[in-house]
Amino acid sequence: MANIFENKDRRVIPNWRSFKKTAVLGELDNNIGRVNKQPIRSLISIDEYIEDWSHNKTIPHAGDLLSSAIVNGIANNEHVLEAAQFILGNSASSTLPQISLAKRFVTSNDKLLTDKLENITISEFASLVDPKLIWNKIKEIKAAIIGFPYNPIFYVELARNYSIVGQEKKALRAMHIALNLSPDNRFILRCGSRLFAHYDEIGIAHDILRKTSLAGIDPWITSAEISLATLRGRSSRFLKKGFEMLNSNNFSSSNITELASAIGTVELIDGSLKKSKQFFKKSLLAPNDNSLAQIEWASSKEPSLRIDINEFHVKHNFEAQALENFHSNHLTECIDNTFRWFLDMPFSKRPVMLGAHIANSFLNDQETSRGFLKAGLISHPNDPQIINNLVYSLALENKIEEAMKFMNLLTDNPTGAADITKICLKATRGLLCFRSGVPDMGRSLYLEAIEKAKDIKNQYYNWLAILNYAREEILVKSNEIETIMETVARIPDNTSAGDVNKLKKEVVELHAKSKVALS
Amino acid sequence: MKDNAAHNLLGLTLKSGWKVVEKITKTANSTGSFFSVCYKVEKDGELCFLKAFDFNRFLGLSKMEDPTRSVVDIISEMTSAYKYERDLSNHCKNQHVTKIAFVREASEEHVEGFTYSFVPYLIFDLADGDVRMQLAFSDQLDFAWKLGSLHDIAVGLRQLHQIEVSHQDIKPSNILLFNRKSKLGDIGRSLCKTLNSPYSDYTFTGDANYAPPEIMYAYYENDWHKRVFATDCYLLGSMVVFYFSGISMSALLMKNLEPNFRPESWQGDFAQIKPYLADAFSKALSEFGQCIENEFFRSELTQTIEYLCFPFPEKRGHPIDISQRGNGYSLERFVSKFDLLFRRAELNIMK
Repeated sequence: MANIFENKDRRVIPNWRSFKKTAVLGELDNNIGRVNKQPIRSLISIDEYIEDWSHNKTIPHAGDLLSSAIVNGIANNEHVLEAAQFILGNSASSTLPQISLAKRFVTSNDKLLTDKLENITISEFASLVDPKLIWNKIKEIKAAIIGFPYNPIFYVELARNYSIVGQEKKALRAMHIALNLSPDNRFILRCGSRLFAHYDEIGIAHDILRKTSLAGIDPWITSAEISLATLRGRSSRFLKKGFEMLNSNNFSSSNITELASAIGTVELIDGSLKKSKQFFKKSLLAPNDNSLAQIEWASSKEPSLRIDINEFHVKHNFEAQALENFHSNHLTECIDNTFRWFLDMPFSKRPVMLGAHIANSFLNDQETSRGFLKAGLISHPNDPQIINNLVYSLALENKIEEAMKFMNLLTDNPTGAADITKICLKATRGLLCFRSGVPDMGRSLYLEAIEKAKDIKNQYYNWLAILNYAREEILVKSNEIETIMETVARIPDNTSAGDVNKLKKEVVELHAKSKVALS
Repeated sequence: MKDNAAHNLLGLTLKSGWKVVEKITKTANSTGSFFSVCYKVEKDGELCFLKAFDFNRFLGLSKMEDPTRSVVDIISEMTSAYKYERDLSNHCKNQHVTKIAFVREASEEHVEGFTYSFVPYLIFDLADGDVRMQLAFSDQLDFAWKLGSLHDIAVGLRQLHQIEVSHQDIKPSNILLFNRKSKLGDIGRSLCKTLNSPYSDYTFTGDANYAPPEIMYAYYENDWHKRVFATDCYLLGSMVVFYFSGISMSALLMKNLEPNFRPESWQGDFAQIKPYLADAFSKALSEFGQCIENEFFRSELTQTIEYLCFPFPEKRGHPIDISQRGNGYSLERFVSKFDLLFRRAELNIMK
């Protein structure tokens, strides 16, 4: 029995992307308290260099002109373009930095880094999900660190890539180094808090934020601090500062979107729906992917918060789109957006669980489901939930040997696994027994899972276990079949869970077919 | 240019006896100053370089910057600039500085028929050109010469630092060649602790296109020595970068920096930008490394640039000096390093 994707409590924990992508998305822009101020540095004339170039058409003069142009952010000057073309036309006499700089001026950068993911679909799964790519990246970063060990960004990137391939200790070690090198930087603190939260080190994730000098000053840090404080079961001491920041008019809307969203979540949890709505409204003035995903989650708890996320043109908005597709039953779009969400944050388990669930329970696409799960195992090796779902998918297609191989990665009673996961594992072991020709043991395991789900008063898993068990009894043409079908009949046809309804329909049809075959 | 005395010296024999034989349009022979008109002058069979101060241009640019300034103030400023360059040159000459292009003669000419007929001028030895005329990026033979030239520049800078002068404007157009030997040109924007300078209140007096990151982001040390010598260290490192990569250190940095973090966009403080600058700097260093094939020289030069151009001034300079003296702006070790590398490169050529 599969452990389904649960849209559990969500907080505005920072999303963690590569440094370059985070910068491009504008999360690191700095206009704290300076919303209307002029830039520090005005641009400088490059006329002197143009004049030199016009009298001396040589590679060094061209390089000198391009240097002054890039320093001043000048791109469309005809003399600069001429110098760039000159370098490209004499590449044998030019250096690699000159050539790559010249290319910047003559080629249009029409394909932005952030646009790459937008058009990817699930059909590209096999070519894009390959741990070798990550290990190569790790190798590159480690080589770069040898050359320049004081760059904290390298360690953050290393930690991210290690987390993607499930190297928890190495990831945490790299992040500690980054935090020691630069303890008060927004990017590093946000990534650090995300990593520690990812590995359930909520205390550390919260402490690094609440102890930094930026807490209560930087809205991006304050929002994460408030969110982690609530996850830790505490009330943030920066809430008041957060309110002040939101009301100060010192920050652009894009800089406070996560803060407004985080405070809106706190108000929602505290039951102040009216205040919550006000803050979420503020977060939507210039939302980012995280604040939009947050309101999408919040609307699943409080329908009056529902919005049309398509009204907002937000880059990398895959999580919110996937959740919206899921709730509105647009499953094909959902699987594509879930895949993009996964590629955007490959260390995260939520897109893995959602993608596998949709493919398995709704699209009957076991191969895609297993693709997500195997990809999830890269970052979460030996995760009982993922292994359970993978074994379930394999067993359904009678790939028993492979299923056993994965099941053997787990102990009988894996430590740290949630009760529901343990129930699912029991049922899945039952399924394996049925499919391996040991129905008595399978029956016993299923009945145990059904009872346990009933004990913890989880009707959904109780129904799922019953339906899965019934299917197996039908397939082995058991004598118990009519008794179990009576129980199946007591499950309503239109529950709120689409996968239960679908599975019940399949079981009833299978039973009908088997009766026809017997007669 | 009709009503501009500085532009109309050609053919004249000056009071000092020099005959103006050729007007130099902005070429490799220029000393880089933007407020001057340059000529070749000849006396007793010797050709020299004349830099005539262009009052009209100075006035025009000054008025453009601040239309309310009085002409008297502007004349005074230009006169100060002229006097300062002349006096600083003499100061350096008297203090045994050898690696800069000295003022040989300073005088003024009255040219009839112009609104501003007074033309102050300085005469220098005529250089063969600036370093951009010599640099080639694909020629292995040039490698040793480049290191020799960098050694000359480092020696010149060290000499200036020893008499409390900071050049502030080291860039390719200010490295002048005399028989393949390099000297620092255009000390007009230099800062001197012991001479009254018209620029003494400036944080940075050189070409802003070559300015170090702390200047770009308006963060700087209040301590004069630390600030100006840290700037010179960066500019020396930037020359190393230019000699081998053909672009400046600031260009390499900006090339590897995301647009949101560029000085004209960034509105946070210098502390917050530091990790991003460090990231861009490390990428710039690795890009620089691609320009040098020989592993030994690549490693040595990359390390030298790392020391000289570190984007945070307090970490700039040789690490031993930083730990022992509190700052690393002494150029002694770099002079030795360039000398060593130059000799080694020469040996490599001879092998």
